[in-house]
Amino acid sequence: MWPALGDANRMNDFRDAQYLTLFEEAARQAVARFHQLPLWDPYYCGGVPGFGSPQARFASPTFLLTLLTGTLRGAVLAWLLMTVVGLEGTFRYVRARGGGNLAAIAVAPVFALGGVFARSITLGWTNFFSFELVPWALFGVRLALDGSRRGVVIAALAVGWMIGFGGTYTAPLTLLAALFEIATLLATRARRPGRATRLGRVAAMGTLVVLLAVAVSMVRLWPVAETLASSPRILGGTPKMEPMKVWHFLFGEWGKDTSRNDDFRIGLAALPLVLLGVWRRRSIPFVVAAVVGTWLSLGYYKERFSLFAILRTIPPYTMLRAPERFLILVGLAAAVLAALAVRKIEAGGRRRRWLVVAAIGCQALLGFNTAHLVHNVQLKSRVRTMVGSPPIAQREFRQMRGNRWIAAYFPYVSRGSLTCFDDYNVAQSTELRGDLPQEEYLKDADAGTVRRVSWSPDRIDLQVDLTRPARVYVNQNWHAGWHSSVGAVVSESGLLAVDLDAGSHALTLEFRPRSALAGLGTTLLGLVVAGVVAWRARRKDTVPSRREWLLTFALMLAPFLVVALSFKLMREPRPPPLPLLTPSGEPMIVDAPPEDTTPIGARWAEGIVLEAARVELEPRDDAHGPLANVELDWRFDRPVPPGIGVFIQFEKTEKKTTFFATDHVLLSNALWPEDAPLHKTLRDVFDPVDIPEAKTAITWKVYAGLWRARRDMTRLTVTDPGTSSISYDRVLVGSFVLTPP
Amino acid sequence: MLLRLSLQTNIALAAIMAAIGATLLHSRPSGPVAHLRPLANAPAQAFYAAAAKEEVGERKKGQGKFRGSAWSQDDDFHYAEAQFLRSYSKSHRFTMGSVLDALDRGMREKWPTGDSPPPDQKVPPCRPRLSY
Repeated sequence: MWPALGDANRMNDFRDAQYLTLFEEAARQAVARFHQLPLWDPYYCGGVPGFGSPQARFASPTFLLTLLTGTLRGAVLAWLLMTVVGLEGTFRYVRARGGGNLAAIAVAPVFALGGVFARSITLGWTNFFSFELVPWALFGVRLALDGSRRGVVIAALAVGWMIGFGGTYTAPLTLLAALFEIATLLATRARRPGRATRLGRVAAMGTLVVLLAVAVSMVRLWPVAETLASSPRILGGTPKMEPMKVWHFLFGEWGKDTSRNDDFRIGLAALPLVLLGVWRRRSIPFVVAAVVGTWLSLGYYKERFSLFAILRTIPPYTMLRAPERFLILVGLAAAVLAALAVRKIEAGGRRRRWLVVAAIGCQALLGFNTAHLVHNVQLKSRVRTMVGSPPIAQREFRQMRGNRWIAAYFPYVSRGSLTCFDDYNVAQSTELRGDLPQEEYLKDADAGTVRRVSWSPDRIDLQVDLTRPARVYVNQNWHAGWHSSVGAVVSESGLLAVDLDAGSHALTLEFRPRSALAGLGTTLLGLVVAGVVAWRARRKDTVPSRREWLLTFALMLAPFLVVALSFKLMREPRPPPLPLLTPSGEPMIVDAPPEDTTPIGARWAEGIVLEAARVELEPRDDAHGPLANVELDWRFDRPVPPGIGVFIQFEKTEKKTTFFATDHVLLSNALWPEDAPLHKTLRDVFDPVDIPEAKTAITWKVYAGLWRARRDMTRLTVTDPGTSSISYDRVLVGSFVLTPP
Repeated sequence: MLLRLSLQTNIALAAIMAAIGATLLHSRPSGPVAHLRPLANAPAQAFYAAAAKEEVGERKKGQGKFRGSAWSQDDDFHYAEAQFLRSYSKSHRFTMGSVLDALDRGMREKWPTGDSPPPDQKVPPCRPRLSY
């Protein structure tokens, strides 16, 4: 990591690094410049809740490094710190699983210096260093299941840290690994006497872990859950990996420069020891873990036997892609297996002297492997595209049109980037603008004046003088957490606005979201409880009496009182439902299709009817080329299966058949099919489609169909074409002729 | 035993402190913090007009790549815009911060864009594609 440290004050130009840097810098500015909690991030998408941004990492101890040394330098120091934490955690976990001291030290880099972390340095995926906490979480779970209260605290703090660090993949994968820990413990000890008592104790300790982990994570869990509940992560595709690719991920490709390849490298030199470890009886759980992890990592490689496909039907795993990330857990299992092999050889050395030499050989092999992994980290550090640190301008905040590919520049110069990217549909107003003379304004200029008195991310003070009642607009997104000192906060097309009466008003807008504030209270109380439990466990780690059990459970439940009280004390309006309108503002749920549509009456097996459709060609003008406007009028006679989407194909048959496709999963960009009312006409109107120009007249046929867009991507079967025709489970919905310009 | 342990602890602490010291020293800033230096009006306006001209062609390309997806088209344009900003700032020896600032001023102050239409001020809401 030495090369990365030398570059610590420069910026990674890669797109993901850019917006992850923006999240951290926005939080740093909120605390260091404005002396506020980073509740609202006005620098991205027109404003998003800070704690509700799934990939933000500031709710973590490493944020102190950011505050002390700046965002860019803090990220590199965080990598280093997390690596040290990961090495220590792997050492402890491996030792707890019977690896022995020397072996545990030697194998710790197999996981903690693994390829995923090297690659995260290249891409600036700092939040992926949350995987360094996985061994700590499993170590804690292991201890806890053995009755240790210290283990409960360790597991909960590790989970809280990884969630606070933006571990959107880490936490769900850790949950799977923890369930595996429980299963192996129960399986290996099922035959011993006192099974019922032991099961009860495991269940009780597991509950304690869950309660404390949820409590200390609440500052992130609640706001992120709120974000994803209102706009779920939309993922399609059937990602798959060839088995050979898995090999390349884990061990690299011989003779090829893999410095820019995806990588979950554990090192080829460790492989002989991993294979040796397989033959020990106590290795069985880790062999199973490695096999299951590898199977999951294949994704949809063999669709009929895809474990990943099954997992993806269970929330929250419905929101995960990139099955290869399960190889991170395989890396940890491999580290344990290698350690068990070395330990066995070490133990054998007490009786056979030649095994001492073999044990030294094993250590040398693992030492070589560590050197190889360190070299890999160096290699990955050097292939980053680094640019100078952004210039700073502390001035009045304004929104710019922005650019997510270079997002990190904006907060440094007190500007927000309206254009943005995330993996979910961001609740972003269509009324945001990047050219306003002032960010807080009246649309009716004759109604009075608005003057900004002071501005900070969580609080805006305005002086408003009105000659008649009017609406004050703020060039940021609305959120239920915004409150005003006077008037009523409203959402106009998702834009933050306040309705005021006539007169002179000192208007203060404050962002006080219940989820983040009550979540923070719960987390802080959870940390206090963790401290109390650890302190009470200092003499006797197990729970000694029935009274102590009750007390421990009461302590664990205490933080949730904050959640309960917040509903009583903190009023927050429900987000207004999305207006169920077509893009042109007409109602999308009606009794019958519009009169000017063409009746079709095609049916699908799932009780879905395409009642009618309209395909129109909008002529080209100065602003755009030819556009096709399509309306599909659906009716659902039965509840539709979740995860379906609509695809449209434009096909021309002149000379040879070619087509292009477009698809969507929200009807009229507003309604999930599974949420649609039954027996009503659902008008599905979407963005106009650009039609390519040609030198001769072209007849375009337009087909529509349904597919399992967020599942296995197969098409739903058309059972009745109605008045139209079917082709490959597509229904012909219209056609038009495009003449050359 | 106590002395030995203490010595071990001291050595370990000294090693850790040395490692932290070396880390902080190696990662120290190489110079003072760079403050934004806005471009003079003439080069800023020349850049703004060039950016507006570039936008017309790049938006058309995006429309061809992602038909029927307004956010994807806009996002594709912004990828090209980022490339243009990088190459313009490099070829004219401006900083990225100063060309972004010129873009901001140009849009807000409605600077002339020659024959090209003014840059689009609104953005389609983030609607990521199903798969990449």
